[in-house]
Amino acid sequence: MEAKTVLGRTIEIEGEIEGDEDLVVRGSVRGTIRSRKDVTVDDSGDVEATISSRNLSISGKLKGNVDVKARVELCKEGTMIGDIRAPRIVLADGSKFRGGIETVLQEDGTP
Amino acid sequence: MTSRKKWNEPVQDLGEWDTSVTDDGPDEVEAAPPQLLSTETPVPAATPTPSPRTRAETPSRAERRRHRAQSAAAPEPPAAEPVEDEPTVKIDEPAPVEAPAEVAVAERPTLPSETTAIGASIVIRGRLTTAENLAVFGRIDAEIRSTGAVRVERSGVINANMSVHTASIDGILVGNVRATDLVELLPNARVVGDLVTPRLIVHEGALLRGRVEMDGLQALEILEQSPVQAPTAQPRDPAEPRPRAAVGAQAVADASERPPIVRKATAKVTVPVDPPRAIRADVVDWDEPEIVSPSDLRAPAVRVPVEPFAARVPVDPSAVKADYRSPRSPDAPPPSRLEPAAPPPRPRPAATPSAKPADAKPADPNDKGSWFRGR
Repeated sequence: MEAKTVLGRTIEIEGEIEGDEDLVVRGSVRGTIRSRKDVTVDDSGDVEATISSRNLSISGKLKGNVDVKARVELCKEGTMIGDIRAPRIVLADGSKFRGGIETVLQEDGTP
Repeated sequence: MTSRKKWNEPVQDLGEWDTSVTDDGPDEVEAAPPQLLSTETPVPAATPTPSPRTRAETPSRAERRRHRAQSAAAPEPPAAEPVEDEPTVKIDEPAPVEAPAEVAVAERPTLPSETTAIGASIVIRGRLTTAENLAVFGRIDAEIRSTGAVRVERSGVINANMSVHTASIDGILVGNVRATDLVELLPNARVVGDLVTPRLIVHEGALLRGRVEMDGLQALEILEQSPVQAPTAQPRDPAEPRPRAAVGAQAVADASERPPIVRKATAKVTVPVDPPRAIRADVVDWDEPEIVSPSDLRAPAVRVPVEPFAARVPVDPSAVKADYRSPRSPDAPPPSRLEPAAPPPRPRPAATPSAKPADAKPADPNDKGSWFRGR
């Protein structure tokens, strides 16, 4: 099982988070999140940050630009304000989004 | 039970590890003679000890797993050892060493629920506020304010000040700690910084450089209180008449017969239990408001300057100009940003008590008109 960090509901972080692990945010983060693995913003998550990760899944609130290497998924309960730059993007039915979308090639050159 | 027979397996990887000293205490009865730790003289397989615990001589699996985590380079004992008499039973090895998160938290179930584990590869910079417990396996360069417990695990590094309820340190901490309940330095603690706490536990092996400030005021109170006086007087019989102050030698004789009645001072030595609120500010280097409840976390705080994330109040140039006294009559007060400029008091006639109110108010150029009611 891969290591995973879960930032609980009452956690408020102002600053930068960097890691090599999966990150699940259930609290509030202001700043920057950089991870080489997957980042998940859970239902109670409230993130105002620039996120750069491998995968990203949003079920809460996200305000900030996103630069993802594999896939961004905005789930039904998710709301996002910001620009997405990723090879693959999924916006589920019912999600709220405002911003720009740019699909880019993956790192290995495939779309 | 035969599959768990481990008394004849080679224990090379444990080497000089002392089986009698473990974190949790010995699991089984330590009946092993010392020669079992070497592989030269294997115990003959013919006669297993009749004790119900066949693993009596070897450390428990949890301990061995922990030891393996510590000495990562130690290889597993090979399945076939030429020294052994009988075919080795394959040891059901536990899963390869997981991320330290799993092992440490599971074996120390002292953390209550709602614990956030910050993984080993995570670095957090800035400022962290929480009401939960934290188990830090990674690195935190952020000022921590928590109303729960913060535990720095062996791989954890905290490089900032902490203001917490309980701090339990088994790793590296560079920074001051202010705890409202307890600071515990576990054997692997390496702390550089000051501790302000009512209670402190330091385990053997912990390293600390800094100042420790436990609540001095309460300690002095306890020392100054007089010890309890044992009541030497007999309980007075209510039927007995009160002793009257007799005069003369008779009184002295009477007094010497009866045991002296000792007035009891305060019989109790009260030990305050509540977390101290009176930590003297003059002995604490770093000025932080004391956290008592989560609502305190929302209060505007005096912030330790932390890199670019310290809040700065933007200065509005127009606001600065408004405060500046523009050249006008020296009597007129400068306009305040907070309240609307009050017009100067209307000039009144000197002494005409019979003057009508209408006559008493000449036209005033500064009078703003109907919007201003009252003086």
